[in-house]
Amino acid sequence: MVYEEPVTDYDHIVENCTCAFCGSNCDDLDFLVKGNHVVGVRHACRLGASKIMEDEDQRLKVPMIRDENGELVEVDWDTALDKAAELLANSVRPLLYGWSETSIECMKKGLELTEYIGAVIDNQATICHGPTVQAVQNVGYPLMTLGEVKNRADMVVYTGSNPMNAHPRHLARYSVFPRGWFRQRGRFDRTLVTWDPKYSDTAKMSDIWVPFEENGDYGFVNAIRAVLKGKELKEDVISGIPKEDIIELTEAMKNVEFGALFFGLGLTHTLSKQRNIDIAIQLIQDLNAYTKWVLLPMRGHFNVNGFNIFLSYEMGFPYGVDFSRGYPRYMIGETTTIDLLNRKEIDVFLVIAADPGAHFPGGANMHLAEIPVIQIDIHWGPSTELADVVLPGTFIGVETEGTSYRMDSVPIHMKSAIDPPETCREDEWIVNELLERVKNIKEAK
Amino acid sequence: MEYILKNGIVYDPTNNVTGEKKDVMIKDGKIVGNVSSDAKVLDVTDKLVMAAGVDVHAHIAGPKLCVGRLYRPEDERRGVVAKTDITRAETGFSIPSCSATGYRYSRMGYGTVTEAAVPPLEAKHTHEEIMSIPNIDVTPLLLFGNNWFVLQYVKEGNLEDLAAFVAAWLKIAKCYGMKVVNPCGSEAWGWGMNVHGVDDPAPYWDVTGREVVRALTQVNEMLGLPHSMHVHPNDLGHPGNYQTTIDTMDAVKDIEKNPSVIRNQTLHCTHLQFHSYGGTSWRDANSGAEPVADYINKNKHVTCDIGQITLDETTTMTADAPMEYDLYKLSGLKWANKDIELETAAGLIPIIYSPKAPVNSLQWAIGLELFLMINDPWQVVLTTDSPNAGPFIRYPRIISWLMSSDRRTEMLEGEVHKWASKRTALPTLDRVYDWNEIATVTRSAPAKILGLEDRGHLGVGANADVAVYDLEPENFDATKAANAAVIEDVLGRALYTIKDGDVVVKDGKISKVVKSRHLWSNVQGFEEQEKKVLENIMPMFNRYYTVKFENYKVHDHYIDPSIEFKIDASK
Repeated sequence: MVYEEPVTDYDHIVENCTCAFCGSNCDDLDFLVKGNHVVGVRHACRLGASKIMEDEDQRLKVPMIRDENGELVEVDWDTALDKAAELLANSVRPLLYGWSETSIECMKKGLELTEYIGAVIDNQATICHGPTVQAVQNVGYPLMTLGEVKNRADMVVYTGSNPMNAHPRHLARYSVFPRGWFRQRGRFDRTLVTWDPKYSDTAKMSDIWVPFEENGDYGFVNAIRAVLKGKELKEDVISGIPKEDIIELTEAMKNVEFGALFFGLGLTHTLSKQRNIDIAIQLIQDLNAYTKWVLLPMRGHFNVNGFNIFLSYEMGFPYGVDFSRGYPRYMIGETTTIDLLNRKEIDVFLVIAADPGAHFPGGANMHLAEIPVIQIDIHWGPSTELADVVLPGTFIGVETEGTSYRMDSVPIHMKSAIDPPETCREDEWIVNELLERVKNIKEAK
Repeated sequence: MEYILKNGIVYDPTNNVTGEKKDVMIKDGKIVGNVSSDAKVLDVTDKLVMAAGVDVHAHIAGPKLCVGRLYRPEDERRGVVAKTDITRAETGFSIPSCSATGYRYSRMGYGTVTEAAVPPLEAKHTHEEIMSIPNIDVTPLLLFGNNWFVLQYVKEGNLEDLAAFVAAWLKIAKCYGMKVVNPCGSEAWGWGMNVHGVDDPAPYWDVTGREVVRALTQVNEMLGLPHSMHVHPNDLGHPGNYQTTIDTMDAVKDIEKNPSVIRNQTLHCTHLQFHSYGGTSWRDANSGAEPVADYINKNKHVTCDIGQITLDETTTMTADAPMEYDLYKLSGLKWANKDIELETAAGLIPIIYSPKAPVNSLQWAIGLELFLMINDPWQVVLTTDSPNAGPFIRYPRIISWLMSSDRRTEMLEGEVHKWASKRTALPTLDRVYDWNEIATVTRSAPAKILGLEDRGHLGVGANADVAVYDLEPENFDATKAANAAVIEDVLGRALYTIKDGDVVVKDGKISKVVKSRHLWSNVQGFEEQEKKVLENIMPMFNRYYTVKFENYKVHDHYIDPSIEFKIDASK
C-alpha cells in the first residue's frame, strides 16, 4: 500500500456523516469539504471513501432519452419526465426495481407510484439475500443489533462472507476489534472463526479457519447440529472436515458466553440455497439451549434492509410485491423480478439506485434490452446502456439527506454535506414528479 | 366544520352520563356546548354514542412488528383487502400493515392507541411506522427497565440523575411515557438467562426488578409524567407467577403520586392475565386471578389492563425475550429474537391459542375472571396486548363475552377445554358488564390512566373523537347469548367514527384518511440536570453504542404531526 499524505486543503468538516456504501452504514465519518466537493473522508474504509470522494466519476448529470438511432441524447427535465411518465402510464405490466441505494423517503413515493399504476415493486434482495428471507420465513430469525456483539461476544463466526473485503470496517467497528463493555481487551477477548472454502482475507486473520468443501455448507452445519444433539457422526470426514474437528468446534461453540454468526451470499447462493440458511438459523436456535447465540445476514447495500423493512410495514411483505390486482401479492418465483423478466411479462422497467445491467442473468437482461427501461441513478453503468430514459438523481448521504436502515435494522438519518450538481434532481423529487405526471395522463383519459 | 349528532343514547362515564338521550355538538375538532344553524346534522336517534376508544396497550408500530411481518407472510396473507378510492390495500391478521392498523382501529371506533414498547435506539423506526398509520393518535412508551444507564443509576441510588436521564431520553426518542418490561430479565437474556421474581438480580449489574420498578416509579412521580409507570412484571407466563405480580404492585405502594396529574394510579400493570397464574408447572397450573384481583380491589395505586386471550392463531412479540425462548422450547414454532444494545431485547413467536388446548382455555378463563373480579371498572382496561393474546380486532368479541354470562356458560360447556371450568372460578361468576362499564374500560378509564384530559370523554372542550354504533341500547338485550354475534358485528363496524371533528368512518367504511399524531412528553425544568447527565454519560455512550449520539435522536420530521405535552417538573 502506498502512503498517502493526509488531506489538509479543505474549507470545513462535516462530522458524523453516514457512509452510503455497504450495510454497515458507518455513521462516524467526517467529510472534508472544499468548494462543494468532498475532498477527504475520515474514518471510512477505502470502498466508502472512494465512493464518496469520486462522486463525479462517470456521473450522470443531465436527463437523456435514447433517439431513433439508438443514441442517448441530452434533453431537458420536462421532456425526459414526460417521456418516462408516458411509458409508465401506458404500460400493462410495469416493474419498479432497485431502491436499495436511495432513502426511505424516496421509497415512499415509489410505493405510491407502484400502487397507483398497479406495478410490481422489488429490490436487490430478490437476487441477494432473498433466500435468507425465505429461510427466516421457514424457521425464524434470532438476531441482535451490532452493539450486542461489540459489548458481549467472545466468539464471532463469519461464513460465506468476506467482510475484510466487502464490509471492511465490520470487524473493526462492530464485531471483533472494538473494546466492548464486557470485552475490554477487544480482539484478545474474542475467538474469530471463519467457515469458508476460500482462504479469504477474513480467514487469514481468524483464529480458526474451517475450509469446508464447496457446496459443503449444509452438510457441515448439519454435522454440528448432530453433535450438539448428542448424535454419533457416522463418517470420518464430513464436507471435507474431519469428524474430530467438528466435535471440537461444537464443544467450543457450546462453551462461549456469547456467540455471533454472520453469513453472506456464500451461503445463500451455493447448492442448497435457502436450506443453508434454514439450518444455520436452526443451529443458532439449538445453541441457545446451552448459551447465548445470535446471527445476522451481512447485507450489501446501505439500504437494502431498509427497503425490506419499509415494504413490510407499508404492505406486509418484504420484496417482490405485485399490485396488479389492486392488492399486494408476494409469491417468490411469480412476482419476483428475475422470474418476471425471464417470462417476458414486463413491458416497462424502471430501475432506481441499482445496476441490473451488471448483476442480472443474461436472459433477464436480454428482455430488458427489448423493452423500455427508465433509469434513475447517479452514475453511468451497464444499466445506462440498456436505458431509454435516463434521469440523474442525487447522492443520498452526501448531497441529499434521508433515512436508511443498517444491516441490523438500526435506523439512521443520513445527513447531507454538499449541494447536488445543479442539473441533477433528488430521487424523491423525480419519483414524485413521475407520479404526478402519470396521474395527469391517466386522469386525462 | 360543525356537526350535531342528534338524539343518540350517550354513555360518557367521565361526565356521569349514563345512557341519556342527548345531542353531541362538534366545532373545529372539539366538543362544544352549542353550534350554529349551519351545523351538519347526523341523525343518530337511539343509537349508541360514546367517546372514541382509547387503547392503553398494544403493539402496532416498530421494529419487532416489522420482524413479524417480514417472517410471517402466512399471517399477512390473512386479511388482504384491495385498495379503494380512499384507502390503500390492507394486509395481515395479527400483524397488519400500517395502513390496515389505522383503518381497523378506526372502524372499531377507536381514536387513540398506545404503542407499548419503543426501544430508544430504534425509535425512529417506530415513528416512521406511526407516520404510515392513519386515523389514530399514538402514545408511544419508551423502554427503560433494562437500560444500562438506568441499571447503573439504580445501583448507585442516584434518583436525581435518573430523573434527568429519563427526561432527556423522552425528548430524544419523542415518546409519551415510561415502560418497563421484565426488569433485569431482558438484560439477563443478553447472556441467555432470565431472572425469577422481583428480588433476583440481573447478572453483573446486581440490581433487582424490585429496585428498578421502585426507582423508575419514583422518578415518574418526580417528573409528574401524565402516564404512570407502565410495567410488564417479571415471570410472564410462568405458572405460579401471581405472587411476583403482587410483589411488583406492592413494591411501589408507599410511593406518593405527583399531585399535578389527573390519574389516580402510580403503577399500571399491563396484560395482567399473563401474570395471574397459580400452580407450579403447566401440569398443575390453575388460576391466580383471585389474589391478584383482591389486591387491586384493596389498593387504588394500581390499574391494569387484561391482555385477554381471544383463542386465535396470532403472533406473540415482547421485549421479554427470554419468555419467547421459553415458548419456543414449548411449541417449536419459528422463533425470532431481537436484542438491542445497552437497552433491551425482544422476541417473537407465532402461537396458536386453541380452545381445545387445556392451557389456552385456562388462560382465556383467567382473563375473564380478572375482568369480572376487579370491582372498579376504572382500574381495568380492555386489551389483548395486541397481538400477543389476540389481534385488537377482537375487542368487540371480548365485549360480547363481558356482557353476557349466558354466552360464557355456553362456551364453558361446549367450546373450550374443561380446564377453564375446573381450574378457575369463571363458572361461578355471573357478573355482566353494562354499556356504562364497557365505555369505562374502553374509553374513560384508559384515557384517565394515560393522563389524557382531552379525550376518552364527551365533555365540552374535549377532542371531537366520537364513536357511534348501529345498535339501540334501549332495545337490545346484550345479556342474551344469541346476541353476542350481533355485538361483535356492530361494534366492529362503527356507524360513525369521528376523529378531531372529521368523519373518518361512515357505515363501517373508511370515509376519510387523516394523519396520525405522535404524542410526546417534553419535561421542562430539568434542563441543567439533563445537560450534566448527558455530559457524564457521553464517554460511555460513545464507547459502547454503535451509532453516534448525533444520529441517535429522533429528528423532528419523524413526528409530523405531533402533540407535545409540556410537563412542568417543578409542580
